[in-house]
Amino acid sequence: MIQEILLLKELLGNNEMIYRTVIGLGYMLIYPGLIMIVIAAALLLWAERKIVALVQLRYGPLWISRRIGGALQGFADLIRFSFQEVIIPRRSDVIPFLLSPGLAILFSVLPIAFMPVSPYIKPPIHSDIGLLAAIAVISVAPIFIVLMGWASDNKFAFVGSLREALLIVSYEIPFIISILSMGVMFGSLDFYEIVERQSLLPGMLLNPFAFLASFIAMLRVTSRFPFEISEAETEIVAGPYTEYSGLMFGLSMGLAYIKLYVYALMVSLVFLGGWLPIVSGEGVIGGFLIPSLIVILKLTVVSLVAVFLRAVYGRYRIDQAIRIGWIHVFALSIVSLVWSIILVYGGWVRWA
Amino acid sequence: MGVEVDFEKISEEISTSIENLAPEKKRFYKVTTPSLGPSVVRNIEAITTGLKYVIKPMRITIDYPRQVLEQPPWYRGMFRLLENVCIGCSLCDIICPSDAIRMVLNPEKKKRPVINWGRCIFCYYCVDICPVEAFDTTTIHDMAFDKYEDMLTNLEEFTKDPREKDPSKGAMRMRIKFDEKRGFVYEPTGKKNGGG
Repeated sequence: MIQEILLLKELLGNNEMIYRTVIGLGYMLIYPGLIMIVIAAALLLWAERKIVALVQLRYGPLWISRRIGGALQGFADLIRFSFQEVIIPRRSDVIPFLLSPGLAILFSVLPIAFMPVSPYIKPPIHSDIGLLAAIAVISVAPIFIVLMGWASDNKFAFVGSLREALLIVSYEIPFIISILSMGVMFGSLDFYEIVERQSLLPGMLLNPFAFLASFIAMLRVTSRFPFEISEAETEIVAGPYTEYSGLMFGLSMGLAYIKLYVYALMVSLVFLGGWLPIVSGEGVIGGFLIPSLIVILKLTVVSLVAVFLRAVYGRYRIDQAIRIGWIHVFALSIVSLVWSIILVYGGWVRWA
Repeated sequence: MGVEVDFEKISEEISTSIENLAPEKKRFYKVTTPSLGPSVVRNIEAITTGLKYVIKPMRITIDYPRQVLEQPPWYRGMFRLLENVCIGCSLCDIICPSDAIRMVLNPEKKKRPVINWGRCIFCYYCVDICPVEAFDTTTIHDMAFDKYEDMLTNLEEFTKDPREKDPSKGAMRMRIKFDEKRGFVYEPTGKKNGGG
């Protein structure tokens, strides 16, 4: 792999444009992009089922790949979904019905283009407002979830998509405020500068209010418990995904896990210091692979905590969730913004 | 033509009736938010309880197709007809409360029972009433059928031994034991299921 990359560099050495295109495509499609996300989503699905089973005193998935505790269950589900029949309801709006899961996944994966995982290989779009751009892109995805419910012409799907619309507004605003308050504190929206400035203390300790607010808001935005209200299985079959079947259902079910991966990546970059024990490195292994594995490790911890909460909490009612969103989480995000401003203007933090 | 409803009046009536309730009943109607301190403590307690089980698993289920619960010998499972013993008296057909047993003629023009497993409720009245003990009983209860028609047996199928098609054949039999700390636990008996 490394030799092939070096060979590629030799071949395309003079042509910077083609080299950057190939690296960018690999970044978006293979690692840490699409294929890595699919693998992570499948493993996360298994981990969630296993953890919940342990807390509920059960065994959990064990039939497929018994020796490693059924870890290939997610991949088996993926294969099964891709060979099942896709049924299109007669009364559905066919084009939005077919397009919206794919578009939602596209806009969930796209923020990877702004987010670095290593100091050596830069993301395809290295922007000085990367944090803002990543949030802006991923905020588009819920629109397609609402579109799914609208196009399905099913009352459960419609109710689910309305719940999604209602709650995403209540929780995405606190998420954006609290994560941008980190930008206020670090004096930068560039992921590289944000990670560099956490070398002494991680952002989690510099602004704990922002971490708490954005973690709670992340739970809702990626529809994890206790805010899994739009897909409430016991109330409205599968929410916006009710009418989907086969591969389309696999896509829409994996959407929450894909969003969890991207949001956890953002949280681990902004609050947990990204690749931080390693400041800089040279070459593909030292500069890209090891730092990115550190980022993936932090991301995994964040997402495992997020999926573990399914075993602990019940599901809030809509009014409870909205009250918590607008009163507590929103207030916490405002507090985090004020805290950042105090830290910056009080002279507690100073960046070179 | 519509019925006019005075919503303000109704809501006033409801609120006054709630206010007149006894205080211990009032809390069911009022939306209460727990104060910050207790709710934080409760959340942390819940999370630590969950983490305890993740770190130290305490399973109360058995690994089903590989382990099965040992059933007592009087357990009412699937049974078969011993055709040579049967005398064709039809008592099982008469007593069957769910009408699952039906008499058919065998090639020698003698009456023999056949069973519809879809209707059978495993009450064992037929086994009890049989004057010649023509039913061979087992403790198998977890048989699966592909089609509904498979549950309608003919004479040939009803005389076959259900142990041959036992889905948990070769599984370890487990026994329930009471443990002081964990409650009921399963322990292996050392015996394999099925195969006679």
